[in-house]
Amino acid sequence: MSKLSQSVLDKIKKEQIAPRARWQFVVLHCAVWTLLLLSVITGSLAMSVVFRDLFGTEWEFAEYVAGSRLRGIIIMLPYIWFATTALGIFLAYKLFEKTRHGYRYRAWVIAGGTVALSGLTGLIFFAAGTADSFEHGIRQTIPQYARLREAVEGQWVAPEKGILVGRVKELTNEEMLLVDDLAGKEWEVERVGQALELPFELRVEMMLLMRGEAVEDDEFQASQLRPWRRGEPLRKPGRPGPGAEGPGAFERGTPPPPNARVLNRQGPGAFAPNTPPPDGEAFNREGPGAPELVPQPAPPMR
Amino acid sequence: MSDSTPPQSTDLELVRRALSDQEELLHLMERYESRLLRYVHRLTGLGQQCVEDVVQEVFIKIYRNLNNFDQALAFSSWAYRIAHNEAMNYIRSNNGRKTLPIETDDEDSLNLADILASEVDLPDEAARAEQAQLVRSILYTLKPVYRDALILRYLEDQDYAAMSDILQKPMGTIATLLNRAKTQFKQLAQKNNLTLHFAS
Repeated sequence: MSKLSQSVLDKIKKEQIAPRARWQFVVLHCAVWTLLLLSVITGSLAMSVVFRDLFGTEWEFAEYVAGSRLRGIIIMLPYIWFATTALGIFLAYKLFEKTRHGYRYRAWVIAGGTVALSGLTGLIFFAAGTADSFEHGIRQTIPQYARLREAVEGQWVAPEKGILVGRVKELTNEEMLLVDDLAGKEWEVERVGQALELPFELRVEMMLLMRGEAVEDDEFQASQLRPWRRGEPLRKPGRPGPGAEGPGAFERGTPPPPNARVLNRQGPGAFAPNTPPPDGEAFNREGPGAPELVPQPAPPMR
Repeated sequence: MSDSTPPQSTDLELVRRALSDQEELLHLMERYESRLLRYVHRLTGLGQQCVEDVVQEVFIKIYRNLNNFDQALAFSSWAYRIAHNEAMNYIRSNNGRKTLPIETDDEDSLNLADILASEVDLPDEAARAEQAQLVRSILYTLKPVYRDALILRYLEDQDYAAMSDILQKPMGTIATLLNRAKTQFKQLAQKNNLTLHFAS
């Protein structure tokens, strides 16, 4: 036995050194993988909100909000989610390096793989509508974030610039609807021009982006209507806040519930030929087999 | 405790035995002691006593972490990795004091130059001894990471896969590291008028 070996054994005995238990290492490795998974999920969810904001925002209207389209885009870009995405990807990258065999992969492979995985999962979350419920949850959890987003989105409530965003409260008749804007103010909106021919289904509780002009303090004449944030799930009346989901949310492609008033002129959402409209009031003007417009008693105007 | 090292036992078997009986660690130490002493000595340039202190700490860490030994690796790679980390920690912690290598083998320095001889033509035998000191000082002028790469590849005879496991870097990076180390070594040799004739 060499002097060195003897001194090592002596030290082990003297200091009662023992091998660390296997479970400690298992816990450590599991913790790294769990954190890695959480980082990927965080990055993916953040990326899904980025996708939602990028693909769901009517950027062509941004110039009306900010004076120029470029300025509008700069103001409206979801920087906080860009940063969260970058943080999630960075953490996932660093944690993967810490896994048992992570060192065997080159940095660009890990970085590319992390970005691709987060991007793909983010797209899936976006397509599944998870972005809305996630972002809504963050709004409810972090008041500072909610205020920040409201300040940004509040810029879309600019009737003096001809832009208004709000939730449809009531479809009064073919041309009139009641809308609560993002600040909670009620508007009577009259559809004119292009806004009378819509390529999408107009529903109560739908979020709309309107271009037109304010003719009175609470009356807005809309010449263009677009869904606000395409992909946002529709909700039952009374469900608070954007992005709410769950048992009360309407499913896309299902008939509207009995109390819904639907304006459906053409396109994929039009009623099939010879199919009576579901319960509730419906207008289906065009397309073969469209039922005749049956006047319905409109609810009293405000 | 066994009376002698079972020569036919694999490293993995020795690891398993050491987990149940600390005395069995002796066989692992006997198998790796000289290699690790030599490696740490080459890497740090420390004297015998300091090298033994570092290697003692290496064996203690090996023992403490035996349950974390990854069987996908060779035990030697794992032991070298721990020795590498311990030596690098030593170099970092002593960086401020600018510890100079006081004892390095001329033979090592010349071996390295010899091994690089596929690209470097050394002059006659008599001049080699004189140049040993210069080769050695150049080796210790290199960044530790380059020095380590050259030592592992050319003096410890580790292949790229083992170096990847020891240095915890991908194999492509190991190749790049070695190329840079060789280039830097040659440049320093030229700057120091070391009469090495570099092959094209």
